[in-house]
Amino acid sequence: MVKNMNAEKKKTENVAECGLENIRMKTQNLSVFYNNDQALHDINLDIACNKVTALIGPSGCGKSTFMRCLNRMNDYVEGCRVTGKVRLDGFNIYKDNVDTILLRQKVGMVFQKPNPFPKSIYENVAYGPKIHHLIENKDELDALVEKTLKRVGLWDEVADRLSAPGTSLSGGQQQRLCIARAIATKPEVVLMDEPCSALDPIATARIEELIAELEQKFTIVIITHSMQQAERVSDHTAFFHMGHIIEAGDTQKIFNDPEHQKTKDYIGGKFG
Amino acid sequence: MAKFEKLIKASLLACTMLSVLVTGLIVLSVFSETLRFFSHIPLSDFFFGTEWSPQMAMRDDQAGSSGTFGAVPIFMGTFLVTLIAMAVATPLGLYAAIFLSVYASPRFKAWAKPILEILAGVPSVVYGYFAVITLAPILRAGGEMVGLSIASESALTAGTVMGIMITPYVMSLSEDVISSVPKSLSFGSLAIGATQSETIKKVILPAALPGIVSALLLGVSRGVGETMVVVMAAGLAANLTLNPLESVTTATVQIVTLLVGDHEFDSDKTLAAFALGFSLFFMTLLLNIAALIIVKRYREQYD
Repeated sequence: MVKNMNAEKKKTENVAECGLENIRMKTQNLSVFYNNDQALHDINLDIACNKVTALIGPSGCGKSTFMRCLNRMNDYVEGCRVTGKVRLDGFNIYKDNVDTILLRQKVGMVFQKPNPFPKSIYENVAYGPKIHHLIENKDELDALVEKTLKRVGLWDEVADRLSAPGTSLSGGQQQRLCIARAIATKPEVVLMDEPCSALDPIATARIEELIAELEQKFTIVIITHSMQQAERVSDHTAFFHMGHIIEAGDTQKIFNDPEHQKTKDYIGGKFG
Repeated sequence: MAKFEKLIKASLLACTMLSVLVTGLIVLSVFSETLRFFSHIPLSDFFFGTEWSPQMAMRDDQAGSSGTFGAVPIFMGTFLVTLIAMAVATPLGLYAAIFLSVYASPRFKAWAKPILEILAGVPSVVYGYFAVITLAPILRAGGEMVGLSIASESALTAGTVMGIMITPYVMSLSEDVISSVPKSLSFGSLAIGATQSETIKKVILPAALPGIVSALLLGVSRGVGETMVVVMAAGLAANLTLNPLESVTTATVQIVTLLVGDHEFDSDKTLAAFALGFSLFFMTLLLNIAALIIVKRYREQYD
């Protein structure tokens, strides 16, 4: 009974309207420590609703740590401590009584290396909706899987072999499958941690196209080491360096007319 | 210098060949004795006969002088004891492995796993002792309380202790398998909002299943070949029963009893031990091969 009520609740909450000021997520004085080392210092960043926000910066600058704060995956990192606030639609997700299960249904994640489950293509997509009881019967699930696979442009390629293992697909297809898996739970935000770094240029181009399409329905945060990619796909960019945000704002502005010398140097390839 | 290298290489080769040779000779000698046994006793009597009483005549005219060599009760006893052992070792070993690989903090794991692995190094005669001195009386007393009569050398006692003995082995192997499931898979599942236990049930265990099955098969083959525990805790009489409360005997127990004492090594009685030994060898070989094939297939998935 409780489960059913939750399912109902989730469904109604799933209307991903953009709220006040078009801000989907917001961090306030967010600091992260690994044991005694501080990895992030007082990060304040707004993530615009249904836009693509790119996080750039050299390795070890804290952008992955920042991303993991947005869906509390840092909870699984030994010795990690978070202070400050992360708001999703105004609600602080770092309050003690937050249901991380529900949070992660709303804030999905795609990883650097495609990581399809050792299950069929169908089951990979159906995994999230089943866990969160988003569907009532097999027909609904079938329809959802089809719709999701179509949305990531994978349907025509796999429609005749939905029961084949997800791992049998090519790298680019696997990554699109993982994106399908992430959006099948109808999230509001999709986090992508260097989603193209393991892919060839053609597969990368497809993912970038996909990001542009998904932008209309989802808020996307993407980490990338490719300046061209950040410029191509994102609306906003935040430049991280040594655990601080040096500069954040409109992507065109950051790339064409950065305010800080460091930003200019990083984008220009002087360090990285 | 090159000569020295050659010498080293030759001696290493010799060591390898020697152990291969010894193994080969053991198999060969057991096999030839087994053939001799079957030249006296028909195959069908051995594999399908249900009566086992391998006593031999002291004098030619003694009554009941020829033994009967129906091995079914013995294989059945072996099967029953191993089954009970696995019923104990599978949940214990598997749950311990899941806890250690998924839930336990690295610090806890650092001291807990070695301790559990020490259990695997306890000599089996100690386990046998534990079975006879501690577990058998407890089980018998417990049985009496609920109105069951449990033989002092029951299959239940022997199987339970054997299970406890195999547990660390199953645990250690399964833990390795579960830990080798890529972390990225569990993170993928957790990041969708699956709970830790959903992740274990739906992602980690299915991915680790082939490895776990092979760990269990290796556990079975250890149980089948285990001698000391059953010699001490299981019975001698070859009862054909599937009742775990009764006394049963196993192939290893029979081999020991057949070969203890002064016998000529060419009587049917001693030769029967070789036939049993060969059957055991063949069974464990099949189990190990099955385990290896499964593991190999599993490895290919992630490399």
